[in-house]
Amino acid sequence: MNDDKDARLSGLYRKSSREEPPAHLDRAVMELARRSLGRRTLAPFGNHRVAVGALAGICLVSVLLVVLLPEQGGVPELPQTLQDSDGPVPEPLEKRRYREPAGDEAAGDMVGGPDENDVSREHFDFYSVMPQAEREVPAGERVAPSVAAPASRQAAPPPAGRVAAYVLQIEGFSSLAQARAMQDKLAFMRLDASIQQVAGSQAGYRIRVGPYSDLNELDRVQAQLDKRGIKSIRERVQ
Amino acid sequence: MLRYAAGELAAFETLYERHRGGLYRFFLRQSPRLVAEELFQDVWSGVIQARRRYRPEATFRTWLYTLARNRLIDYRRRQGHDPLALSAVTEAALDDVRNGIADNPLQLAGLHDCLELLLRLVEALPTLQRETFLLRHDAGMTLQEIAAALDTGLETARSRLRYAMGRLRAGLPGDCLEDHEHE
Repeated sequence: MNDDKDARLSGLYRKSSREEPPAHLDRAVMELARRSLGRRTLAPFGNHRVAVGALAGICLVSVLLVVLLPEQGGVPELPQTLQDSDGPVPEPLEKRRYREPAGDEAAGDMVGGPDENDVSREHFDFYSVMPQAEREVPAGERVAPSVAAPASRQAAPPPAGRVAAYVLQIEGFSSLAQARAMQDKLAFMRLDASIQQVAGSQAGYRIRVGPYSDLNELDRVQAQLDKRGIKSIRERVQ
Repeated sequence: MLRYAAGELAAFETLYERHRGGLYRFFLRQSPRLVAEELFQDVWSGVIQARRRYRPEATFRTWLYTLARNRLIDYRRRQGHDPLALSAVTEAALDDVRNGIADNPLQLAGLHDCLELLLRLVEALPTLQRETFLLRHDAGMTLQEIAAALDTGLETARSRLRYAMGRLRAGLPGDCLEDHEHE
């Protein structure tokens, strides 16, 4: 009986839920996708001949480099350079490492860069010199039940909220774009993560994974993060 | 996705075409329109930026909606809301809808009213039930995929969907669940 009604309900919902994304969103997304592949659309005043000329120039220089450079020169780098030419050319790591927090846009480029993993790993090298601290979060700093982001993963949440729970905190993101990139990476690992803004002297963003009231689960997830070079700190939240 | 990661734009177009409507409505049922548009674009931007890192550990759909959920949770947190306990619509607002119907039952005769009411009821579901319902109906996921996207057990996903359906059935006047195929 209810199955019948459910089927009708589903049918009714399909009739009512028909909104489509507006055309400007479609255009924006497709443009982003195109750019990521390096097929930037030329500006209206763009001149194809310029592009063709530039391409020919690059080919010519490449050929000259191959012919003229001695074997041990920069030649081995060349294929890599060409391969990366469809995205923003990454800045040398040394330059990035100690740069002051950049704007989101600049960081956004880094996020999409081909050496994304290197960037994040570099980012967390800092923690390799730190013991994996386990510290109690002061009551004032507790992030209300909201930390419960992935509480969904707990089939039966603890009744009175008295059970100890931990989140895994990943710190040290200077821009939201960097934190987002990490959040997406965690999504690959099927981990729900939330981003929090941090104020004060270490202003920036941090990511929280969890909470977990099962310590075995906590260990498992932390080991999973470690394995990928992501250092996390346990924080007790309840 | 792997073909797009390898540089094939047409592959992205196919993916986008397949998921654009469902994802958009997933956000639309859970946030104001402008926010939904922003989150929608944000998720696709995340997909695009992550293309080189994509590993088929989960289905693309599961991964896409995991990103979507993360964005939504962030949005709710920025608004100072509990990201999971909150319904998009307050109980009071839902009561208004119900009272409006009670005051004016004849208006429910039309299919259009049923559709409107159903959308409001969906928006008013508790967050976890609503997500499950939307993943089933707008994203077209199987229960297994929903369980994976929400990182929960199959039975939990099934029971959330059952509760959601029960609540929607209870909220809709019987007329709305009559056979509308001929309308």
